[in-house]
Amino acid sequence: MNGYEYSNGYGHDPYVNGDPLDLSDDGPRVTIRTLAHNTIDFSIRNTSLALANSLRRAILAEIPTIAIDLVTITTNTSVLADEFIAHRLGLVPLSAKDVDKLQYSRDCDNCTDYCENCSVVLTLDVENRTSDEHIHVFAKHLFLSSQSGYRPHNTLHNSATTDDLPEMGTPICSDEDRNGPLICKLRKGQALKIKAVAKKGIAIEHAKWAPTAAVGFEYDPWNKLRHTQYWYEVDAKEEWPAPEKNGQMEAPPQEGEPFDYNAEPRAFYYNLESIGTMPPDAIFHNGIKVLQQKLASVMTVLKETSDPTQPNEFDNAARGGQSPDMNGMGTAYGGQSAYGGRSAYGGPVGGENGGMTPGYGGQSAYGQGGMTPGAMPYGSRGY
Amino acid sequence: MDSSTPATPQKRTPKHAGGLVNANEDGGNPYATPPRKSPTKKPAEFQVHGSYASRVPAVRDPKFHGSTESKQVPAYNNVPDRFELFVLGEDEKKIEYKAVTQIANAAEFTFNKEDHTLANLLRDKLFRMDQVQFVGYKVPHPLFATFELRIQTDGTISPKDVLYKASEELIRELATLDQEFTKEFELKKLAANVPNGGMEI
Repeated sequence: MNGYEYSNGYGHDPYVNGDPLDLSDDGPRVTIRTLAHNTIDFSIRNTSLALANSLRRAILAEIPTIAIDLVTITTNTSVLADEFIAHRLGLVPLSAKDVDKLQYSRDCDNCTDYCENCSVVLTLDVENRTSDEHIHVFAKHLFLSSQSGYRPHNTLHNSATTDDLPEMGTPICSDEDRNGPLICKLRKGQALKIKAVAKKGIAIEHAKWAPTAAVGFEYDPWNKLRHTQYWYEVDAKEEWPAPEKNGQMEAPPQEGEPFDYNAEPRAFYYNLESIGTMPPDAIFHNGIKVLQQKLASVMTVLKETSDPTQPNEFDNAARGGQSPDMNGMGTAYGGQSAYGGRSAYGGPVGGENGGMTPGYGGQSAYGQGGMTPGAMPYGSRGY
Repeated sequence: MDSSTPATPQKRTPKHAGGLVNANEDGGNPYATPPRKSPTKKPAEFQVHGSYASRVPAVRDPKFHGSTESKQVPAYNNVPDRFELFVLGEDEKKIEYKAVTQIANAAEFTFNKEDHTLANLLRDKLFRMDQVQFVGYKVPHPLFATFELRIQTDGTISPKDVLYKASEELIRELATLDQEFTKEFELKKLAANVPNGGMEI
């Protein structure tokens, strides 16, 4: 068992995935070690470090989720300041079921401020009228305004599949008592009444939109690639503990084994932990989708710009200001085929197959040595 | 708080719960019907219940609290909005590029509102392609979400087309990864449907 691509061309161990017949593709391979309702421990093999790292970055920072973004306070007589409570409300995890169908508020054509298409409204109304004990205001006291204050009892659980998630915007309460995070405490006579608008966003803008608690990431547990150097007092091998979990997936170095300077990192170990707002496999799929959308927008923009390194080529002129997911490329990634964008333009253009195969087929983006005047890859536009 | 500036009609200004609090005050009657949604929210008094009679707002002594005039214009603030890290500005294109004059078949692409996530991915893929002679990227300044990718090819394909090709192959590779993960996930889920077959709940 090894995680390296040796310089003599020997690839991954065929027995690692338990399927010795499936060696046809040269693509990435996935092995899932543990599956829990919020955690997936898995490894990816046969791919590059750059892809593994970009996937990790996308999962951490760019998956759209929903979180409270605008708080209107009608009453707050608690000991905490308005903005303090508003900040805490922003951090309450809300179910992200079907959040890809929700518009971003800034992109929504339906409204100026916010509306049903681009937001979820929640209300919280707790008052400590008579009790001498402090009332704890939990996330479970947040109600969707669409449900008019009622929520079926069993919908506060987080889940292993997207179908079990409660309706979008419902606070996720994963503790035993199904209370959710504590927002504030109210003494007798204190009250908290707010209206909160939850919007779609990504963790780049604020960490409240992060769907992951953490993403553990490691490669080369035995440091055979010498990407790091262990600090030591006397002997590094004795002072540093052996890698336990991931070290078992790879063969430890033999004594006196020569350093393979051509080896590259080939196996990457992830431990993806979700907060509960979306199941961990959905996080993974959305991470991949985000990367694909970025690449697709690169392709779309490139298609439209003229090429200055090619003199006198008849090409589409640059059209500035186009939204990156025009042509539907940015959103056509529901299914397995990632190249669905082509299907929108099956029009007759010289050399184009018009097929939906994910592969590049026989056509070259170079238009077979230059495009004939009048043949525009994306159909004719009047300009 | 600079976040208390009134909402402008432009769509590109998201408001954060992390900073903005909008005190909706609608006059004294707690049993009144809720006010109509209006674009500008008028300030209202706080509602209090219980044994507290009426709440007298504290007089703000200018000596301690500054002018009692409400300040609509904040002091100068040069902190950019977080969403500027991924939302294209006005008149900003996603990718701009120019040919490198001194060398044939070389071009420099400037990606706006992107970071290492995309840059390193493209750079690595291009590096492994035979037709590419040089590829490198840099983030000119960490405060601005922009990177420059420089590609030089051997002439059989233009830098723009090789970038297109690399993106396409990457999409395919990611789709394969997606399929593999789904396969493995479904397998594990089935295995776990056997009672206590290793799945922790």
